[in-house]
Amino acid sequence: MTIASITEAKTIFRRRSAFTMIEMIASIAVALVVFLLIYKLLSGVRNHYMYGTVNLQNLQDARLAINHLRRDFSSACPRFKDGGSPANAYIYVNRLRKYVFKDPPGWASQYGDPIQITPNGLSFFRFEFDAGSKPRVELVQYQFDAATKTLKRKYKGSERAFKGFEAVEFRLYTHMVNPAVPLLWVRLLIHEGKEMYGSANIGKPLELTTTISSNFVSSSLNNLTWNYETYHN
Amino acid sequence: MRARKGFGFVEIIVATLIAAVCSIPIIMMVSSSRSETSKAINYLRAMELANEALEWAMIATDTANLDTNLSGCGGSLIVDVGGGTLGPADVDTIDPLNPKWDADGIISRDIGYSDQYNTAYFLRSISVVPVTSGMGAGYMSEVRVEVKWNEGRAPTNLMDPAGDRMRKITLTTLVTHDNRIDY
Repeated sequence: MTIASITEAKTIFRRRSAFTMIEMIASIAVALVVFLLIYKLLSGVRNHYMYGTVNLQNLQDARLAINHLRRDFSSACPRFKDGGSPANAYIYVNRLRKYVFKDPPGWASQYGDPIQITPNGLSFFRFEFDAGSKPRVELVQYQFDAATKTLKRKYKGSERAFKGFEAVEFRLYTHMVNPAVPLLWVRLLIHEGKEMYGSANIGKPLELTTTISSNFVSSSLNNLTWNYETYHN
Repeated sequence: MRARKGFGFVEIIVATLIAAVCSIPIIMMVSSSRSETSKAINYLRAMELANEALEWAMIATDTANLDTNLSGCGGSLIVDVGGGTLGPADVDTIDPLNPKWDADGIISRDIGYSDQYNTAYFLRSISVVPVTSGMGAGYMSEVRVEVKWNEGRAPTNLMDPAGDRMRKITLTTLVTHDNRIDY
């Protein structure tokens, strides 16, 4: 065997040598650290994304619900029943005006239906702006169902559900600007984390409050002397 | 042998740096979308605060002190709730004129804002300016509501309307004084 052949054999042997234990452990450790860093990065990005989408969904839900509530309640009114004659109509209107709002659900007056507001529900009539000669009103109802975390809106036989609501609160108050006209106060607490990702820990609950007045109630209560209304269809 | 050499230390460092630089925009993009959502939430709250003041204006009757009544409703929505502790302000409620509503227990008095509003340091100012020319002269007033707020930092002065709030919206409406119209 020549020296050259021995050197070649050594070279072949070295080329075929496997990783040592130290090399393996070191490379696995480095790979683990790299994977961990990538995992942390991707997991952080995913958490940010989920947090952001939940917050954005909360915002959209709040805006949608507030828009519906404002549009409906701004033309809310009690429904005056037909008194059968102009004299009776005048009496009916003015007797119901003494209440306008009434709390106990189902409370009915022979003179008409007042606006009913409970902590988790609204029931009122809304003016329909059509071309008819007699004012036509339609019943609108909102009800919060805590079990399903849903705010339901019923109108003209159809129902719309606003989901993801942790709490909904309706209250009436009178403001120092004019104690004669009560205002509707609404509080919404929305959290879509459970609905979207199955965890209430993702995202931040959104709480929003606002005040809504009814132009018809305001006009009716502010101008008792001249604002004469007849019954509603 | 040289062709089979692994990565050098400098190559690894450079590759890591490039990867880090490339990941910065991704992280920035995701975190900025979150802060943008937070800004949008504060914007919605500011809009509702302004709308609320306009609702108050819309129920007002023709009173000589409308300006005083309404302007007095402005101010910071985060106030000293005692002992130097800051908390959400209350809405200026008052006893109802109709005693039947009280008897039925349907009027609330403890109306306030959420703690979540605190971090934005909302400041609302309301002004009422009588219309002095044109069609509405004599029986209309312009109600202007301005809501200012901050994103992520406290203002140096809570009550100063000219304070260092970062954002502002203004809503304006006209109120008709029915009693001044000669029908």
